[in-house]
Amino acid sequence: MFPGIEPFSKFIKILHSDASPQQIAGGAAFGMILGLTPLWNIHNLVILLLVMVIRVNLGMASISFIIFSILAFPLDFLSHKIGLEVLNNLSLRQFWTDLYNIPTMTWTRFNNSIVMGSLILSLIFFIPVWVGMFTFVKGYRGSLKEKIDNLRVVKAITASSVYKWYQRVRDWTG
Amino acid sequence: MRWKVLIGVITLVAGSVVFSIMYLDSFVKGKIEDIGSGVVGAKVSLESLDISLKKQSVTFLGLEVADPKAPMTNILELKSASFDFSLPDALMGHIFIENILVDTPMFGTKRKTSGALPKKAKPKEQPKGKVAKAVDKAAAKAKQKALEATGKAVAKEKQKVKQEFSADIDWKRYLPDIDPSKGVDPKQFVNKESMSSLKELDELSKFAKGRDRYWAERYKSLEEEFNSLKKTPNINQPKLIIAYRDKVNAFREKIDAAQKEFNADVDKINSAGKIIENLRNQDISKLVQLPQLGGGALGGISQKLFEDLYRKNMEKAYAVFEQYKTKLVALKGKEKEDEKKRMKGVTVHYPLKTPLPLFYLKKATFKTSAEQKRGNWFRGTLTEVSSDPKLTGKPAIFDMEGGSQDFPNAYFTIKGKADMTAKRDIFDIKMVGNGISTAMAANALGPDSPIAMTGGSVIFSSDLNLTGNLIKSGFLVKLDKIKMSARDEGLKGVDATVKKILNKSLEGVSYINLKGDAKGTIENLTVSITSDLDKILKSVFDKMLFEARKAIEKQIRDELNREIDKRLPGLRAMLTDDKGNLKNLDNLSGTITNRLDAEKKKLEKRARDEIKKQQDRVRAEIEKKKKELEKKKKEAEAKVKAEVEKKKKEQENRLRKEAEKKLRQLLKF
Repeated sequence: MFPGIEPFSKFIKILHSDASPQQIAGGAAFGMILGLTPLWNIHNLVILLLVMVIRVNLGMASISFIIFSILAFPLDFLSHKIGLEVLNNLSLRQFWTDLYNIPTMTWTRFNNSIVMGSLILSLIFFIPVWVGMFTFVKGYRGSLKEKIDNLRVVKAITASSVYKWYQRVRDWTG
Repeated sequence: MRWKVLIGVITLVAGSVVFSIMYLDSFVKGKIEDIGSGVVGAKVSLESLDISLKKQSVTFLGLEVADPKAPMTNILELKSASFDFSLPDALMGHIFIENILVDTPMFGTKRKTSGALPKKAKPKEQPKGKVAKAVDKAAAKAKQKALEATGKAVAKEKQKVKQEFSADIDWKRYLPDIDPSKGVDPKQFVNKESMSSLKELDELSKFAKGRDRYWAERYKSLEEEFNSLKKTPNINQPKLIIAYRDKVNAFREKIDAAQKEFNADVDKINSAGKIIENLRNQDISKLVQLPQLGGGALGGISQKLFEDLYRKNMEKAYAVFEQYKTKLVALKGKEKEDEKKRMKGVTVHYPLKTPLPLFYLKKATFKTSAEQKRGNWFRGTLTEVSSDPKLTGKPAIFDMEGGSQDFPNAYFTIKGKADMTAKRDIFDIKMVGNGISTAMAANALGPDSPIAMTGGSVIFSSDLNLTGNLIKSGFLVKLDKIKMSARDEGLKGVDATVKKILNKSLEGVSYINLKGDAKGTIENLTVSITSDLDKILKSVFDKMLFEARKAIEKQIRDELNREIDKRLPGLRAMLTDDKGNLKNLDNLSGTITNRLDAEKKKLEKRARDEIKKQQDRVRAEIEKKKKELEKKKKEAEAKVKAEVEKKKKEQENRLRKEAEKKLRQLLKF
């Protein structure tokens, strides 16, 4: 109904839900890997399986996937550069050659600069995203939520008829 | 842990595996047909496929591969093929086949239905509204900006490469023709002419530009024609109406033809990316091999350094290719599709330890029974085929025989060896073989040839080098027991005597040796053939001359003999008298007789003297021997007498002594 607002409202919902900060942080981190790396790859199957099996927040994972999929477009050039550097690195050359010679490994497309670069990039961001989201959720639930709720702007928005109308429509559409 | 989800996922995976195994046959069959049709460009159909994972065997029936150039004909048809395989090895990407049995392989058989692929229906283009046009304009602007940004990024990369070169590598030692201070263009590394991918890119670029102009003109002319057709004739004039209808029909045909041509252009552009990708891989393989070949600007460069240089720069060159490709694809209105996609990146390739999936075929048997021989058939065996020559340690051996529908009485056998190596998608096959084809009945020299050939056998030996799609082959062919004659069609305006001589010369030719070379690609092969026919004809002609000379000699001799016989009685009459005796020779005869008598007497006297001399000598000899014998006789007699005397005395003495002894005994008694 409201394509721009929906992920945001979902995110607010998750923040207000019973999900633990660890679960939300895990969802954000795993969703980031899915979003940053090209989707149709074997490693994403493993990530998807992990997301479904480990107790991470699926909603947060899907939001993170959407956001990082959009971010992936401008980051592709950086991913390409990192991937190319790593794949052409002389000290790693023997290792890549050995991998390349395993028949099933080429299915992973590890030798593609974007796949390799974006995977490295997402692994680098994995812990910062996890820690950042964990800290944010904890902080939000601790004191930030109260502060935000008490902000005059928020109070004005939530008291407005437009917001009430939005809430009614949202509840009606589910 | 979401155990329920985990169990669900495991169940789903297990279900998928079971489902895949159940429908593996039809899935693989569909894939073979789809991929095969795509590769060949015509229908590839399989009647059935049976893959048994339990028995680890594959059997397929009724394979037909249509000819894209002649859709009612099959390039290849086979009744069935079956082989066993090792599943664990196959999962590791290793293909080991002990024996593959191919039943009734044939070429050029007729099809019941057309093998042409159905043309894809093009989606109808919706007329664009104002909004759509504005969106297009905005997209074009955005694209332009993106291209500019990419251009800047590429320039920056180039700058970086320039620095890397000047800092790390003493490039002048290795590549004296390149000056990185002036900006390194990867295309400088290699001769552009030898880079098929670059050449293809250039050609495609030219093609795209040329076709662009061509289509603009073509559309213009069609539009003009269409406008002229807008003026409809008066309905009351049937003749004009008929002429107008014919014009409209002709115009419709023109439109259809233009559409067809345009579709072909689109197909070419769409497949350009794949072609360039393949050519690029071939170029990479060639470039990597360059330093091993030695010579040229890259002669002294080490493999490692070359690869380093190559990878650093070829990837940039590939970025240029990608740009070209984007441009080409954009020309055909595919830019929107590409804009939605993320960057494709660059796929880096590494050396393969085993260039192909490890493949080993111990024996392939191609079977065709007598009643199954249709089209161009063959049968025989192929043994010891492997992607890794070290595995077998020997070349593949082929032993085939076959026949052709075009030459119903022809039959060939071929035996030989083939060395095969492969690098990525480039095969390198060296074949050495020889064979024989009997009853080759054809006007093998072509319809315009002054010579016709029929019958005979073809014995050939050849060596073939196939690298990628590049062929280099040399072959020797001997046409044996053939019948040759002059062809009137090929000898128009030639003097009758010459024809006669040629015909006569050809009668004596029973064999020809042909020597040939074939070079080029599979699609574009140049074959040059030289024969010793001229030498053979010369020798036959020499023989003809020799025989003619001999005949003339004989004729002269006969003429002489006849003349002599004619003149002989006269001569004889001149030399002899009435009794047949030679005239004036009697005296000479008497002299000879006297001389002979005198000689005879002389010889008789000499013989007598000699005999006497010999007799005297023998006689003297006998006398001498006689005297010697007598002397020996006397000596012997004297010796015997003395011996007797001695014995006599001894006897007397002994008797006397005995008598005295007896007497003494008596006296004593």
